[in-house]
This record gives sequence, structure tokens and C-alpha cells, in this order.
Amino acid sequence: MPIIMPVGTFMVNWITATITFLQQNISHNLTIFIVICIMLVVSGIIVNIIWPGDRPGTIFSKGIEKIEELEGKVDISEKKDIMDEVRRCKDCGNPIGDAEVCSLCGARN
Amino acid sequence: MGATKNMIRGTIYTSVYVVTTIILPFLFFNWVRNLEIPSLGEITLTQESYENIIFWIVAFGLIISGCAFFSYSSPKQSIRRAVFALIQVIVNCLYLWSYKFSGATEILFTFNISGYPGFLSLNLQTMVLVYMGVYFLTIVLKIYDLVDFSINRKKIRENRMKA
Repeated sequence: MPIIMPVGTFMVNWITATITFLQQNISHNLTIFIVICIMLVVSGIIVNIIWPGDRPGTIFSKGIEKIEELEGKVDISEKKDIMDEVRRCKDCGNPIGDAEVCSLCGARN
Repeated sequence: MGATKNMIRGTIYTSVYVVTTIILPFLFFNWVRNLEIPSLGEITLTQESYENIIFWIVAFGLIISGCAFFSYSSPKQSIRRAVFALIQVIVNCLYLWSYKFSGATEILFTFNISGYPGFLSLNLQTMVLVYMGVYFLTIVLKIYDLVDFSINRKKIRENRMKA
């Protein structure tokens, strides 16, 4: 096993180093491991409630919906061109506003 | 519905991991401490410190079970599932090292059959190295999964929403 054995040696080295470190620092006190386990389970439950995976998250989806709604409104208002609402000359199309006579072609509107 | 289903799956897998990584090894090590077979005499498995091994079995077993809950309660092909599966494999390496091999690669059995004492020594060095090499490949696979899920995140999510 020319490849597996050196890799195994590497694995054994880091595992031994980690276990030695743990034994020197966290020995004979299970509390920290119990706390880690409980934290993992609780955070797993919370994360699953927020992001179940088969649909958008329950808490943040409302916010996203609102943002999309607002973006939609902005799009609609952007589509309405203010220039369309200005009166134009019937003959040349020049914007005349409230004026009766077109300043460009002189046509009466 | 998805969240409940995920959590039920996570709970089932956590229970399996609690039984296989904590309860069964704990009972086994307590039982094997002083094993007596009347027909063969007394067989004693000699190890440096059983208490130490049992402590690390329970400690790593708790972390493995917690990771298993997080991992198996996550949606399939999700990044969080891949991350916690990777952590679980790494902790599993530490766990195996602490209980199967307990830092030593030699296990010594002493026995006394009808007044004839003796011993049997098992050298597990090669087996350990091969086993750990295989575990290294598992870690590489988990890292590949993580990269794959991260790159194809959008596609996976779209497919999941469709299903």
C-alpha cells in the first residue's frame, strides 16, 4: 500500500497531536462536550425552521417579498415617462405644454 | 412540513449515532474490563487506562451525535450538510483513534488456562495506517462534495424548489 500508508501516517500524526492537545487542556470534564452537543442540536433546529430547504425561509422571505414589491413599484414608476404627459404639437410633435401656438412650426393647437 | 421531516430524520440518525458511538462502546468497555470465561479461566484485556478511553468515547460520541443531527436534518446537497458531514468525519477519526486504538498500536491479552499463564499480543500498526488512509480519502470526498455544492448552489436550489 504505497500511497495509503504515508497518508495514514500523516493522519495518525495530526490525530495524535490533536488528542494530546485535548488531553492536556480539556481532560475529565464532559461539560464542554455536552454544551457543544446541545448547541449543535438547538442550532440545527433553529436553522431548519428558518431555512427548511424546500421553500424560501419563513422569517426572511417576508422581507424579500417586501423588497421585491418595492422594486416592482419602482419599475412601474420608472416606466411612466414624464415626457409622455407633456402636450405636444399636432403637426411637428414639439413639446408645447400649455401654449396654444407651437414655437417651432407656428401651428395652432 | 419540510422542517419537521428534516428534524425527524435528524433525530433518527442522532439516536443511531448515540447508540453506536456512546452507549454500545461504553457498555462493551465496562463488560470487557474483567472478562471471565469459566471453561478457559480468566481473560483480562490489558490497556493503560480504561477510564481515559471511556471518557474520550463519550466526549467524541457527543460531538459526533450533535454533528449528525445538524448534518442529517439539513436538506440534501446543501452546503451546511456538507460542512457538518466533513466535521463529523474529522471528529470520527479522533473518536476511532481514541477508542479502537487508544493511542497505542499494541494490545496485550493475558490469559490463564487451567493454571498455564500466557499472553497474546496484537500489533495493529499496519491496520491502523491503512484504516486512517481510507479515512483520509473519505475526508477528500467530503471536501469535494462541499466544493461541488458551493459551485452548483443555484442549480441545486432551483431543482429542490421544483421538487
